[in-house]
Amino acid sequence: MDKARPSIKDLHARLSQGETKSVDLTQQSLDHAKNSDSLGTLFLSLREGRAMAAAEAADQRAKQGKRLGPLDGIPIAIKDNIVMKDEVATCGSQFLRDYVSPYDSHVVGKLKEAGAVIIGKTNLDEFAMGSSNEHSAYGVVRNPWDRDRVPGGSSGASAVCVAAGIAPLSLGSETGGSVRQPASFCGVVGVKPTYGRVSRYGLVAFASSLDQIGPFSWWVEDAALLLQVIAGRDERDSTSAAQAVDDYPQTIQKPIDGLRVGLVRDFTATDLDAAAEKNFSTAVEAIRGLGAKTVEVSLPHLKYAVGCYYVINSAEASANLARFDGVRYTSRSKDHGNLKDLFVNSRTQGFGVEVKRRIMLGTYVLSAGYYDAYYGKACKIRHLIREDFIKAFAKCDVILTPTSPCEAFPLGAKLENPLQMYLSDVFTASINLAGLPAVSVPSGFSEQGLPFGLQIIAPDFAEGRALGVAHHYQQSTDWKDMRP
Amino acid sequence: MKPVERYEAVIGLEVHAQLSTQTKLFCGCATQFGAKPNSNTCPVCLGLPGALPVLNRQAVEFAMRAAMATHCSFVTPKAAPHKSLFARKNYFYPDLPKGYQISQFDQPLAVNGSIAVQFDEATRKIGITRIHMEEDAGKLLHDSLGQDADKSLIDFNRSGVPLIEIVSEPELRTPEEAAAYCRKWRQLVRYLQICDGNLEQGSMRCDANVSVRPRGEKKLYTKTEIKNLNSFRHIQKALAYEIDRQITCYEQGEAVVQETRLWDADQEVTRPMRSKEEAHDYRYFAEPDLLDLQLTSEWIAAVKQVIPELPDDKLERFRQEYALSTYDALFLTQDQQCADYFEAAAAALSADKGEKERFKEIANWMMGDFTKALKDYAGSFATTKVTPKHLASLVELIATEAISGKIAKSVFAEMFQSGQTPEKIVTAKGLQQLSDEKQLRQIVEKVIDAHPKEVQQFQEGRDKLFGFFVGQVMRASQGQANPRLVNELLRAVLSK
Amino acid sequence: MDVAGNRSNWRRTQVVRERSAKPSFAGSNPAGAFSYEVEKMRVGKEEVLRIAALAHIKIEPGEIDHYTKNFNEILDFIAQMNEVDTKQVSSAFHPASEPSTPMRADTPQPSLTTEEVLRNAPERFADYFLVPKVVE
Repeated sequence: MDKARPSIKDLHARLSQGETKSVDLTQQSLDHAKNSDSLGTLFLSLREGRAMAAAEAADQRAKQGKRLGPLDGIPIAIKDNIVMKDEVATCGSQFLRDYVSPYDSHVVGKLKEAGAVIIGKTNLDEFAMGSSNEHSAYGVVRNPWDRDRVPGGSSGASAVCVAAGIAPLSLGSETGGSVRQPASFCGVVGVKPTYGRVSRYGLVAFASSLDQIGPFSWWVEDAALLLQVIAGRDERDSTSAAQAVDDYPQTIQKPIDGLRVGLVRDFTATDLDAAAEKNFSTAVEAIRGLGAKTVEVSLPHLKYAVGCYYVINSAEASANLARFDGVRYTSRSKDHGNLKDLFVNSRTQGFGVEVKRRIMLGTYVLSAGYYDAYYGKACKIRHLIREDFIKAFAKCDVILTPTSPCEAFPLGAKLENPLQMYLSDVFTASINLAGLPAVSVPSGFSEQGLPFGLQIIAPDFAEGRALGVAHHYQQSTDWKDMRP
Repeated sequence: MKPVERYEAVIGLEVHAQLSTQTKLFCGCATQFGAKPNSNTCPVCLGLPGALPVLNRQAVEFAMRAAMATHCSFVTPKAAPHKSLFARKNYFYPDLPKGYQISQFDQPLAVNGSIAVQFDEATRKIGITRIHMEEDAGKLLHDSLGQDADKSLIDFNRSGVPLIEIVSEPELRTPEEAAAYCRKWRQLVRYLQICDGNLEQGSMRCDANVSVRPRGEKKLYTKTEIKNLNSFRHIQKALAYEIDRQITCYEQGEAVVQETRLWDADQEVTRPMRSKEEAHDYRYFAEPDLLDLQLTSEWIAAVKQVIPELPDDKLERFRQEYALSTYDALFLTQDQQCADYFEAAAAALSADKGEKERFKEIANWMMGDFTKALKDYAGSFATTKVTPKHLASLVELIATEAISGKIAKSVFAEMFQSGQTPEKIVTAKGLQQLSDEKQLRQIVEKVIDAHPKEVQQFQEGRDKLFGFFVGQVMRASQGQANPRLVNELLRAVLSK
Repeated sequence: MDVAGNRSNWRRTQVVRERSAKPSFAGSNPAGAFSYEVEKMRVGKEEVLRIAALAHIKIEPGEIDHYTKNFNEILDFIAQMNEVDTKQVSSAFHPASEPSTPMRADTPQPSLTTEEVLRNAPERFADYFLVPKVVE
């Protein structure tokens, strides 16, 4: 019996040959989803009837030999901050508990065109603000490798879906590591595309200059496939890149002999758990074993990345969340005498603590008298961080770091201390600031049996290269045969 | 010196013009006025979660026209391609769906222009500080619910409509001048065909910033902002009131508070706006969902091509080419359609001597009977049944004495209603002026014979009776006798 | 792939603002020290309440200390940024790769139906959204 989970390629073959049916795959996914209480609140909505109907349509196409492509009939879960027409999008918040979107996001449109079967909307930290999926208004999500631990965030549930085998693919979103970090904590593959690579139209905005939608998968080649489907210019998103989309499944096959791999010398021992450091070194050795050459690079402004990131993300978020006001489509506070109360009470009741904290921080750093010191300063530092990467990429083709400074932490461990929580973004946030692509691929386990991830960072629009490194590395390891 | 003479007013105006594009600034919803509520809205202009703005090229072009017509500079850098940035202006209000307005703050579209304002027979150049683009908000309706008067209704059809904001330097000095400035902008946006300039309907809006200072001083004193000025008359009245109010404050040793005040058109006073107690901290920052707006030299050149002859240039040309007085030229060029009509009529005149007088005649008709008729029947020079050629023909019929000036008025009235040519009307109604000397002589002699008593009185010195004889001749000829000839003949006969 | 050639122009210029300078950050707490005296805080309770009001959020009296403490810890951490000399940095950075904002033709596109628009409205009246009366 094949120990490995089926890849999309395998499923594609079985579906094309009629060995498997999409309705069976979809039913399995839905049943698994409904029987996963031990993993916390994974789904905020399941599309049972509609998903089955889509699966039936896929099977019809397969019977007629008219499958739309490798994703046709494949179950996929999407994060609940990615809107879908006629489906509720809560963004993990009470404020949007009944909000039904009248339109499809761009990526949902692409998935529908590809015939993918969207089974439901996954839980997340409220409005994507968090690194542990503990800030959802609908309950926590638990790490399948140890149910007393967090899965990471904010796309925790999307990562768990793939890790637990509920669906072979899922979509999450990134602002400062919200795909890569849960991928690392849950032992799955997570991709953050180059900024602008995937349209943000229909992604509920958190921080507009940082957000990107990214795939989760078990196999790197599956992430490559999914990315190819959702990537590309969308004229409804002014920040969407016109750059042609690579054939990622093709690109990743290229061997990595002689590839120059940069190792960052600027993070100190205190940034990393000992176990994480050891895991990282082992992974680096494995990459060398595949023919890559390592070289030291310096990112001198890396230590300011988290601070810079929090100023910028909270500033943009404070504006992006101003539309949630109790007027047009959010829940509305029952106690409002006048208009001002309606706004204030609705927002106070609708938003959770972390969201309120972020909004206030953002309001503060943009406010009169403080703009230059905080937001103005952060924008300049962002520029310097970006330059660091550009200079480093003159010497190497990809840069490696651990995805996270530690393994998944216990539920509740960092809730009281937001700053501690923010620091878990130390390796990921700088990438969003610079707009670069990065992949997190499973790199082994801690002594407690918790996964680690290796982060591979590439220059603009070179996600194919990063995926290639991840692919070859994955092929050379046994981690993909492990199950939670 | 009276208090008001010891002070001078310092006025700056902010004019918002709604651009007459087909679609909104950041989405493809229609901008057409009068649609059913909330029927021209989409995720973008409603501020739904996940929606993103995409800029309307035509709106930018319209804004560029306004900037170029007032000799503004496009901002940064000095040489093309120029870059302009959009920014978020953050505040909460129920008609503002995103909780921020996409506007421009740093690096607006254009700066440092000027506009010539004709006022009181003088022309003053008023500086334009900046012109920038921004989106409009939705519309709040109050008191539409009768008994449920503690609620307001919101219609987002207007949300996202493109606006330009035009900020003047504080160089206006009187309420009349301010109204003239506003009128000039109305004229200009209509010439540029970028906005219909209707203050009452709100396609053009005006806010004023006003302060006063002792005459002769250069520094600026505290200013107040006045809103809700929805006609030229209101602009003038409100400013006059506010200037007076501020002078009174200073005279009584009180300070003028920096605040926003609403013009109450019923009470004819300004009063402080309640909702503006808290000073707004708009927390401007560059809009991350949009990239730089780039204005290339090719684009600028292309827009320049479509800018028509502007009112000031046309005014000057009319004075020169048609030998019209400034007053007449101002009237005719107030509006492009009127000016075009005049020129078409002028062109339709046969190249003949006496042309200059005929230009003046055309002008007179247009300024007089024609404008009155248009007003009475809610028409316009663009849609009237009277073609420029018809008007030219009418003027020529008078000039050649085919009809009298008096008869011409009724001919014109007929032309206006029916669209018929003046020649046809004259023929059909037999209105030709009677200029046949033999026939006229007969009528004159008949009249003279019929009134011997008056003849005698006239010859004894009652000169005023001449008019009586003229009147009688006109009556006898159904008003068609050529007045000039009648005069000559009567004089000849009566002096015998 | 040559990265240096891509995106070599920094798109966002600094939004220049004449604002009063914030008091200096001399003597900020190192990121590791989380015990806090309310009196030594960079941002006091009144300021936190003012910011909350600006953001249209209400903080209950029982929560104010907690929010203030967190706020200050985060700001102290962020204050590290002042170590960086940014005098030579003329512009901020936006990661979008196109040099200028795309523009669309002025052609009307279908709008949402009024029903779709009002579907999620907490309160409506006929074709309008309903809110408590707005007083000017």
